[in-house]
Amino acid sequence: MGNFPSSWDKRADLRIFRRMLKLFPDEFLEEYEYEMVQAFRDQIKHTTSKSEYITLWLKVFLDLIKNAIQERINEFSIENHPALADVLWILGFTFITAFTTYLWINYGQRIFRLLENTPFFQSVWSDLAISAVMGFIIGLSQWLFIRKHIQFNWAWPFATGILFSVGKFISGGIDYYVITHLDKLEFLCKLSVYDPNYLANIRSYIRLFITAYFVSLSQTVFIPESRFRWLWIPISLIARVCDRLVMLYLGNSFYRLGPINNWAVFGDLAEGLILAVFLRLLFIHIELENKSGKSTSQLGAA
Amino acid sequence: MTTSPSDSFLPLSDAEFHILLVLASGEHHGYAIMKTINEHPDIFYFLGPATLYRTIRRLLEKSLIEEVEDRPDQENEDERRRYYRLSGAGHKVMVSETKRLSKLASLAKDWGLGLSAVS
Repeated sequence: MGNFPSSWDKRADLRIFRRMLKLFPDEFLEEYEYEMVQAFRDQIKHTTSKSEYITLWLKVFLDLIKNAIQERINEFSIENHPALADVLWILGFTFITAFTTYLWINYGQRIFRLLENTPFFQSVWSDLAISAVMGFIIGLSQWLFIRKHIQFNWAWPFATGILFSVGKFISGGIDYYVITHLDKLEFLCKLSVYDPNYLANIRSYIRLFITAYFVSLSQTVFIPESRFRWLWIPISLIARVCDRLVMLYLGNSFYRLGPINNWAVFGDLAEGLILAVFLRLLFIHIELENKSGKSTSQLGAA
Repeated sequence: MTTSPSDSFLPLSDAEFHILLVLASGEHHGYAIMKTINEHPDIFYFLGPATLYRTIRRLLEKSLIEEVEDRPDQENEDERRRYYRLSGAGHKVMVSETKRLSKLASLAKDWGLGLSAVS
């Protein structure tokens, strides 16, 4: 049986086919271009009628387009772009930390209002319970992103919740001491003359620092061994201060647009961003340290 | 229900299944795989060169097939043709997939699709 078309110049088909292969990524072509051309050449060579020839071209055309698109999409996948993956990770961590904090402060705490007329709500423990739940929720949202990188990962949200509550308890005690004793000191009174909120701010920063200290201290335990992991504590404190400063700055600058609490979410975003950038860098550093450790030990073994 | 490690590859895509099916009969190069699938009267599936080699690459990555390094009978063949064969893991996966498809076929029969009448 003679092949169709017997007088046809197959080089034209192969030329068009080769041109179409340029739709594929170079890395794929380096590996399979020769085989694909060879397979197509054999297919064309064995066509026996005009209709078979046209049908084959149509099927091959669709096959090439479909696969080239899929290959290009795969080429642009996250795994092939580590820098993009880092940016998305940081944005994701920032957003989810800020979002859960905002959601909890604005809506979640309303759950506790159900207890408002009960003895539980009046006691000191209700505030601690609210803090524990808030810490747990924030810890849980962070855990979603970092669970692959940390040890005893399930403990992260629980430790965050418990230590948030402990930090609140201790900072509340110190705050009470400040109110009852230190504000009577002359120098604080003088400062408060120039800035009526100064004392209140000192107290709020003390509360903020102590809570952040206890939470970050507990979390540091779960971060894998690294010479920089202790930095998580000062970075957490800085992030908390930035949270407050951003909120105050925006609140004071745009007070006409609404009360200061409306700007809290931007403070939360700033805090989340600082924590996210640091954590990502820390995990990259730990990964590199592990890799170099492994290669050193392999060299030693060799 | 117990699952084996090979079950994690299931279900196979159409292209994966057909390529593994052809390789179950022995070593073949790319065009031979494509020709067998496209010309077999019971297989209603068109395999183009792009789908063929993308799937081959995926199967190699999953270690379900392997490239044949030393072929004894190379004299009349183009030296640059690459031959492929089913790996041990690939064989197990094909057995699992075939069992899965058989169960589906018997389920279809149980649910009144009258396959016995067809066969």
